[in-house]
Amino acid sequence: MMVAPINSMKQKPVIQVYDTTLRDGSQGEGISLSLDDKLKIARQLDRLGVPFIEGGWPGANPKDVQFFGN
Amino acid sequence: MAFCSTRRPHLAVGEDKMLQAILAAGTLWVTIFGKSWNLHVTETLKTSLAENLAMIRDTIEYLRSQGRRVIYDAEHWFDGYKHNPEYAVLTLRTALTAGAEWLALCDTNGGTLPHEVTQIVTEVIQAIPDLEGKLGIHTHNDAGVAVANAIAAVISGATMIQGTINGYGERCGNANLCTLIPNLQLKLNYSCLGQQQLSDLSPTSRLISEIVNLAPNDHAPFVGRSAFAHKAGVHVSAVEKNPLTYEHIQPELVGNERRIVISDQSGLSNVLHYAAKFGINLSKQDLTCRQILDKLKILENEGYQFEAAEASFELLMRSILTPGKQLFLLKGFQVHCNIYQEQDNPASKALATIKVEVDGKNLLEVAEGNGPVAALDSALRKALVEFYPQIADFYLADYKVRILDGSAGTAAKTRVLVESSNGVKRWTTVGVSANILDASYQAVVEGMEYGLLLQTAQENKADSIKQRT
Repeated sequence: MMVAPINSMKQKPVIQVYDTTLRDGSQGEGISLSLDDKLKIARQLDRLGVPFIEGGWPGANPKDVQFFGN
Repeated sequence: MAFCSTRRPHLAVGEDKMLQAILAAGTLWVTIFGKSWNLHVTETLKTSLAENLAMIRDTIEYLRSQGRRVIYDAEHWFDGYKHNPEYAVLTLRTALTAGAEWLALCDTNGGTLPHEVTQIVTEVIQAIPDLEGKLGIHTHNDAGVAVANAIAAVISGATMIQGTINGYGERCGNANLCTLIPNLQLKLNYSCLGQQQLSDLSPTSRLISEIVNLAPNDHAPFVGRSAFAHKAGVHVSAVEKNPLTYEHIQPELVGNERRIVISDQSGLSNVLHYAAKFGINLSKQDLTCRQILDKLKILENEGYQFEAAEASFELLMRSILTPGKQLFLLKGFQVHCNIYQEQDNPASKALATIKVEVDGKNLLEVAEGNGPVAALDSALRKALVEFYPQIADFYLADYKVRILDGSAGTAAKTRVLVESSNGVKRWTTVGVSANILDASYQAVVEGMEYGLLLQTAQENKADSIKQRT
């Protein structure tokens, strides 16, 4: 038996992807990102087509200030 | 985009240095997080519920007046709603009225379950209908359901998903976008990324795990190396007939690939699959097919692993099919290591001596290296390069050691994987022994043999093209 997809009758809205690897993700134990690492990740996320890329908390640390400088 | 908290309590918004740093970052979008849970307002911020609402309003209005677009992250929203739904809803109304364009409900402590998310998201959209099209979800994986919670929120009306690549994040991590996006897009028909971009998901996951320097999770859904790996004999034979039998989606959609894993659980189908991949004509009825499988099972029992050393497996297969002449005969080798303690030159030096027989000729060579494997590799090359000049182009690209039976301590068996390259192609070979040098030697020699095999195959191909033209 086939399961009917949920909301199949309604036009599905576009889902906005918001990536926080550079902020929340870097809070994970064992992760420490250099400025260059952060820029590389941001570029790859951009290539993937992620519309919202959270870069960090400028003012909280110098690395995040530099990141936004770039 | 930049991220920041609401202004501090009882401070004029224009005087908050934190917000000045946000403006200085120069991003169009700013995410502001604020408190939704009355407990956090009175206990953590030590301020009044009314002041918290003013902090949310002032911060967002100020950023809007400075030309910024604002996403409001409602911290501890689900916990707040469970304790004091009226106040939690009021924080959202305040942020919306102040000009936030997106409001993300955060399960900051990660303890909420999917059925609660469904109920709460549905209720909040009923309470504030203007939220439709502006609602986001930000989940954590403390209960192991971050992805499930985000899916529940989207089905209930959220249209923004917040998460991280590979689920990296505090404690047990955030919602893993590499799982969440394919589920929404391929199972529920929501559009998150372009189709072409979706097929870049597996490479992105691996690249980012390289950058953060954490070993990739091979068993990660959709993007893991093993996500579409088939090992059990019955599975392999079914998948070769029709992939739908043991695969929930086509691996190519997320940029992954189907892999048939060689292992002692595998049957003849796996051997045949590899024979075809290596360009070897073999059928199930051939006696050699069974011989290869038997040999494979014996070696795997000894600790060899061919899943990551296909070059060794091809050499094994070919040696059984056409027992031909060996490149050379090893008569023996010795390696001496000297560890220097001098301060100006603390490096170690190793000296290797090797004796081999090639074409009935005995050769004795000696070479130095920084370590024992490098010295041995170098001595062997010196001995063989006269007969096989192509070896000069090969080099050792990677070297990995694994202890097989940890309980035996330093007497344990070691498995060595060597990756070799000729500058164009890379291939991996394996060696196993209780002596790490012996295991390394086996893998290094097979690396050279495989390199020469590649060369011969290429020359034969070129010859046959020449003959045809």
